[in-house]
Amino acid sequence: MIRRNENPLALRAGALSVLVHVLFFLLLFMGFNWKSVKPLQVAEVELWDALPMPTVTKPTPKPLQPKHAPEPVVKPKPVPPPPPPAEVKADIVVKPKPPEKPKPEKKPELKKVEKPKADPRIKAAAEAKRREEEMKRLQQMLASEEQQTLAEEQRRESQQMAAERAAQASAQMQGEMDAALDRIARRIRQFVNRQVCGTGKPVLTFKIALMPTGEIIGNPTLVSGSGIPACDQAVERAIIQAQPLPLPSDPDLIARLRDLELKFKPNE
Amino acid sequence: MKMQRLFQAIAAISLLALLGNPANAALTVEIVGGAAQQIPIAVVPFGQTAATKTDNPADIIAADLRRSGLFRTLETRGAANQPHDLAEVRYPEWAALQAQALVIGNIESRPGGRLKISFRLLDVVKQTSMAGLEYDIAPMQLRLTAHKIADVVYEKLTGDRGVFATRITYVTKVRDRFILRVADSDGANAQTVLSSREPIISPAWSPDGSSLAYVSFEKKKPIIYVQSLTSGRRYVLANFKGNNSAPAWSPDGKRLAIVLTYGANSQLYLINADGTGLQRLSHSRAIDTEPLWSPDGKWIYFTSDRGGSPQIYRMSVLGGDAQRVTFEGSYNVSPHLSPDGQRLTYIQRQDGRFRVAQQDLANGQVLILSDSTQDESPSFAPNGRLILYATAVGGKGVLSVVSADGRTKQRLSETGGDVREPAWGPWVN
Repeated sequence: MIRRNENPLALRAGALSVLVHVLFFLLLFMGFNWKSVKPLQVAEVELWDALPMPTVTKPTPKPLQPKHAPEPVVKPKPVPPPPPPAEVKADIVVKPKPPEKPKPEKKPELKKVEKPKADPRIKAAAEAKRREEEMKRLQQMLASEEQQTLAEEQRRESQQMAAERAAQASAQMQGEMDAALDRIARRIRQFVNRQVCGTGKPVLTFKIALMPTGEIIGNPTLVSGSGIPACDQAVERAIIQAQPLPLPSDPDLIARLRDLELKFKPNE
Repeated sequence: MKMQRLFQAIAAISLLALLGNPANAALTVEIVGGAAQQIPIAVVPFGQTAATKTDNPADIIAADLRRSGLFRTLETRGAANQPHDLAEVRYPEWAALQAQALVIGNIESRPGGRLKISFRLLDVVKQTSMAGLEYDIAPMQLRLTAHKIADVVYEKLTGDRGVFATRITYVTKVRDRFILRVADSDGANAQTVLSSREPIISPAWSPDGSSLAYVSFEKKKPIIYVQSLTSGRRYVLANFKGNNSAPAWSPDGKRLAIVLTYGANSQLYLINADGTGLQRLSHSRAIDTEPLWSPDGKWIYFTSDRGGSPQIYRMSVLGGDAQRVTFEGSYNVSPHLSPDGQRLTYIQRQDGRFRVAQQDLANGQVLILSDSTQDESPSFAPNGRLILYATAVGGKGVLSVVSADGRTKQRLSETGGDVREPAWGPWVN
């Protein structure tokens, strides 16, 4: 009903408005698509789903907003139709306008004039939209980066802890090994008779292989003697008599103690 | 990623370093010193028949080894296993008794009243035979043979030559007689060399063990004699004006150092073994006495009070100035050198007690070896491991032996009499 009363220019203006909108959306769409960068490796983030990071799934940019202060201004979303008067109520507003008929001729001009008038707004809106998208994207990116560094830090920390644990374990193992070697030395020393090793400072070395029970496999092998046969024999007897040698209960340590080199300094 | 790799590498390296490769990296255990002082040994009584009934060599061998201080002899009489030959040995039983070595043997009679003594020294730990010998002897040689077996055991297990088959000499006073004796190293089997109503002092072994030089007062004055132990013949070595005393043989046996009061005070002289070639060595206003040759024949150690109190000095056999050797205490006398010339034993008086001391000549360190009060005349065994000396017990002198480390002390078996002036003889081949 109303449309019948409208002059033909109004239709054109409407079409123009639609066209402008279409262009605007096209521009927006294109701009958004072209600008978009490939999303960051979200896959890496997924690896850490299991970690205590419940926020990972929600890419809430909240904590990041303060970093980009200018954005809040962009809120004014509406700005849809181009007509200068109250755009939303275009139909209703147009009604009282008929008396101003002299406009028909100027329509083409209006077109030209209106266009430049509409551009800054559209552009601003588009810009705002783009910036919003950009910001979102940036926030997303930052969030993912943050998650990544956070995950990296956690990974590093856990690795550091693992290394520390390994070092502690190795120190403990070394301590146990030292204690085991000391027990073996003390056991054999009980049987070493240095009275028969002269008055010098003889050094002699034997090699033995041990069973897990502490018994010696075969006989001790003299690697380097003292030059005093009686001393060498006495020390060999001492080794054999010291059986079974005291071994720790840890199978790993026992395995390490399988082959031993016994270095004797009876007169020191 | 880099950090991750770094951590992985560190972990891997530390794990590798810790675990190593048991196949080719043997751990080294260093054992410094030794707590065992003696070798536990079991000497099983030798097997013998009624026809060969004698003293059992096992007792003599065990006593010898025990006296050395280096062996702990185990009680064997109650042992279930009493082997006399190799086939009868049950090693585990002896190992259970902590024996490291086992001596077994047998005595068999031979035609002509002789004996065959065989023995084996067995390593209980390794279950192997270390030595085995046979001796064809007259029954009177049984003790000496037992000492020889002890020497073999000692040498096999300690690496040092044994001294059990050597002899000692000493003077004992029985009632009113002075008797010069030669005995086995354990004091047993003593034989008289000289008996006199007058004192006999300072017996000294010739280096070959064939003769003794001594001082006898039988002519109412001290005269030095040299007596052959094989023939019993003797000759006067020094009978100069005044006192002739303290003979000491040079290592080559060609000369002796003696002490004469020929001029005035006791002074040192050198004299040929046949009594010729007297030559004055010391020229002091003090009393120089108790000379002793160093094993290299270059020095004469002696006692002198030239410093105000009796101390031990030494001087070159060529004469010259004397150097003081002992500094600890105010009274050090009767020096005797170890066969290697590195240690000096002497009697030191401290707090009124006369005790056997041993001084390391390299560092001057002194070790008091005896804990008695009236010790005298210490002398080293030929291997330097034991020191023989006389000590007073109940007012009478007895023979004692102390190990050079002071750990083991034992009295020898000489009974009766008042024993003085002992001297350990050399090895006789």
